[in-house]
Amino acid sequence: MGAGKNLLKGFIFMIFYVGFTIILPFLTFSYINTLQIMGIDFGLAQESYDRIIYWIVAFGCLISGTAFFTYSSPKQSIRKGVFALVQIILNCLYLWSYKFSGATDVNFEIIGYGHMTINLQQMILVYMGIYFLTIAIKIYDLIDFTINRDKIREKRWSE
Amino acid sequence: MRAARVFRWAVRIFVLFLTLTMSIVSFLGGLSAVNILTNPSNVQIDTSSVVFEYEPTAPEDTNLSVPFYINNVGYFDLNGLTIGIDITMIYNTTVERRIFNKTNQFPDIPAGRDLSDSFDAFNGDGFNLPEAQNIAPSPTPIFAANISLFARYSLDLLSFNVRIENQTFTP
Repeated sequence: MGAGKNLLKGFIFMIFYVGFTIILPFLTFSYINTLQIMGIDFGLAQESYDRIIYWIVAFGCLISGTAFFTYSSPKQSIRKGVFALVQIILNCLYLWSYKFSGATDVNFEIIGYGHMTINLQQMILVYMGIYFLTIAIKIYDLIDFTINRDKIREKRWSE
Repeated sequence: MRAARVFRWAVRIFVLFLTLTMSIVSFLGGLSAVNILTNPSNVQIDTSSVVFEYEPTAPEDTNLSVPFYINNVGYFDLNGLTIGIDITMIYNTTVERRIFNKTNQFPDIPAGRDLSDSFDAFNGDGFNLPEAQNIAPSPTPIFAANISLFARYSLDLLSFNVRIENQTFTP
């Protein structure tokens, strides 16, 4: 695949990750920030809303940037392996950021009545388990790409 | 194809399957919440049937019954439904005393099923009333209730806790 096509591929995946890690969570938390259920207003505390959005945007930018380098790198290259591994580790931190930004314990104020807490910790931990398997694959890929570097290059040049 | 490559693809497909399953569970959990909460008839407390019989001279005859109805129109079972009520009595203008504190567990509600039940405390169960002679007849005592509801959803991957605070009422 030519450099132009690789760059286009990297750009498309970066856009996908921007949508998936920044825009979608941003819209979801903005929606639930002004939620009305059964005529009763629900609202996130402004401080926790700001903190959640900050961490989502910060890690979302890092993951999207890394996704560009992962998907624009040549197939089976060490560069691709390194960036893929970094991207998965950032994904783990992104999920973990939900915990330390307070997003695993989403607190709503039921205006005039009390409050509601939704605990997502179990769900986040299951996702972390899946990411652990993915990290294992990426480390295996990286070792494979490094050991078989010459073979992969020969194959790439012969295509 | 090398055996290592086959193994790698098998693990990749397994991870993809897990990720897709989790994404579907998360999506259906959100959709269930929307289905249940957007229709007020799915969660009802019949306030006209609430019983609070307060007998300061005979605490053993004090009763509380709060009927409720939950229709689980979501895609997962609602598990570990627990409701707690505590009542504070404000008498002699300034004295505050917690006179009732009880937590009841209710059966799980499978997806697509409903539960019509009531939170009951009969014959003084859970009550700790002040001595009748210490309560001045005027002004009339005020009661304030805190209600908490806990349950697990989405294959127990998420839990929620609703707390309604300081709802004042008279017997």
